[in-house]
Amino acid sequence: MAQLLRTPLYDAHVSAGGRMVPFGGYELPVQYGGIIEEHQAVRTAVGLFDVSHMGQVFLQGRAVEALLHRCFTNNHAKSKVGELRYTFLLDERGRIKDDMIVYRLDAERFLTIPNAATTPMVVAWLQEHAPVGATVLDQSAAHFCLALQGPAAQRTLATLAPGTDWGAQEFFTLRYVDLGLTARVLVSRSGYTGEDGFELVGPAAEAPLLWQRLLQAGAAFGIKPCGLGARDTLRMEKGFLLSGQDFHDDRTPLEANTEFAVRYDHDFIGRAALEEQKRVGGYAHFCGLVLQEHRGVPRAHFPVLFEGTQVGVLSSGTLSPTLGKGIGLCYLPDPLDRPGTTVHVQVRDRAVPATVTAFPLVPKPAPPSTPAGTA
Amino acid sequence: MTNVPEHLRYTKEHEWVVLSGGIATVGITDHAQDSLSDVVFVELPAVGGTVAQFAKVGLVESVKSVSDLYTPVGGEIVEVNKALEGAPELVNSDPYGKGWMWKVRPSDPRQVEQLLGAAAYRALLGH
Repeated sequence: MAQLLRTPLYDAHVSAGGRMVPFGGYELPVQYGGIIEEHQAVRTAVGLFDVSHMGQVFLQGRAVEALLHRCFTNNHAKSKVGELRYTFLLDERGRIKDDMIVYRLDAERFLTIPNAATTPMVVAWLQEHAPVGATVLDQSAAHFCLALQGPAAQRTLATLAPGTDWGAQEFFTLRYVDLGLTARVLVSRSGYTGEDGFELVGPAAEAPLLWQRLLQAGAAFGIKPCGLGARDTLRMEKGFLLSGQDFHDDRTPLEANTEFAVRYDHDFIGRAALEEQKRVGGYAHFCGLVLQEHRGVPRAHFPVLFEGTQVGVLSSGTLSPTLGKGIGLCYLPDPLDRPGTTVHVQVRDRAVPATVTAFPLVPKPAPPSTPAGTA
Repeated sequence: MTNVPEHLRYTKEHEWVVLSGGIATVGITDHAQDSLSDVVFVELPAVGGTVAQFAKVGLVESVKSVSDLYTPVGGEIVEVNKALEGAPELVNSDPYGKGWMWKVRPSDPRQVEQLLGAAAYRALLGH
C-alpha cells in the first residue's frame, strides 16, 4: 500500500482527538466526538470540515474552453466569471469517471476540484485531451480546502470578517476575501451537506491559522469540527453522489438522475452514448430508500429485493441521524424507482421493508434568516 | 483512560460480566462503547435459548461499523435488555449499568472465574 498523504491540518486533527482513517489516499479524521453530534451541528448550527484532500486543478489558456467542452458534460463556457457549475467527466460510453465542480476564475482561467482518489486520473485525462493553447496545472498539494456548513455558517464568517456582506454572495458563486491571511481566500457559497455554507480555498501553509480562527469565530454558534463520517451521513440524507461509491466507471448521469449537469450543446466525450441511452430508455435510476423498521443499519452492498427477487444493491447506506431511520441509496429499474414503492433491503438474515423516497430524504432546511441589525 | 470497575470480570473481546444470585449479567465495556462511538442498534439473543461459552449471540452497530457480541458465559438466556431496542445509546452513556445487554443462568458458574480480572483487563488495554 502506498504511503498515506496528510493534509496541512493533520496535527490539528490529531490534537483535537480526531480518529484518523485512510480515505482516498489520505489520513483523515472520520470523527472527533461522535458522528451524530457532528451531523446535528451542521443541520442546526455550523460545522467545519477539512476537505484539503480534494484536488485543485487549474485549467487555463486561450483554448481552455475547447478543453472544457471536450471533457465535461456541463457548458462551462456559459459560466460568468465567478460562477460555479457541477459537472461530470465521462468515458466514451457515457459512464461517470468523476464528478466535480468547475469554477470560472477569469475569462481564460478555471479551477476544478476533483475527488481525492480520482485527482491523478482527472489530471492525466485533462492533459491528454488538452489542445494547444490550454494548460492543466495540478496544484492540489499547494492548497487547503475547508468547508464551513450549516445555518450559522454565514454568521461565523461575519464574526471573522464583519466588513464583508456575506448574505449578498449568491449560491454557486465565488469571490476572493481578505480573511487575515497573507493572500486573499477563494470563497464559494457551496457545499456537500444540503445546508447553507461556504467552501474556502487558499495556500496550504496557512490552513492551521484559518482553521483555528473559524473555530473561534463559530464558538458562539456551537461550531464543531466535523469528520468524514458526518460528511457521509449528511450527503446521503440529501441523495448526493459519492465518487467511487455510488458510481465507479459504471453509471451514466441519466442513471444517476443528474442530467441537470449535462448540456447537449457541445461535443463532450460520452455525449453520443448518453443520447443513445436516452433514445433506447429502460435504464435504472438512482433512488433513495427509507427503511420502515429499525432492524439494523443498511450499508453499501446489501441486496435490494422486490417480491423476493433481487433487483439491486445499495451503493450507500447508513442510519440517518435526522430521521433516526436506516436510509440507503441504490439504482432501481423502472417502475420500482417510483416514490412510494415498497422494496426490501436484506440486512443480514432479515428482509427489512423500505420505501422508495424522493430526494432529499430529509426535509429541506428553512431559508437562511436575514441577519438583523447589520447597521 | 476508560473506566474498568474492580468487581467485574472481562473478556478480550471487551465484554464484562458479573455474577449475582446465580445469574450472570453481561454487557460491553466502557472501552468498547468508546471505540464504537454512537451505538445505534443492538441485536440480542432470544430469551430461553441455550448458548455455549464464547458463542456469538448478537451484534452492536454504530453509524460506521458492526461488531459481533460473544457471551462470556454459557447457559440459558433468561433476560435481555429490552430498553436497548428504543434507546441503544444507553450502551454509550451507561455501559456498566442501564446499558447491560443479556442475563445468563450459567451452566457452569466456574466459567466466570476463568475470565480476566480488572487488573488483567486494564493491562490488555495498556492502562
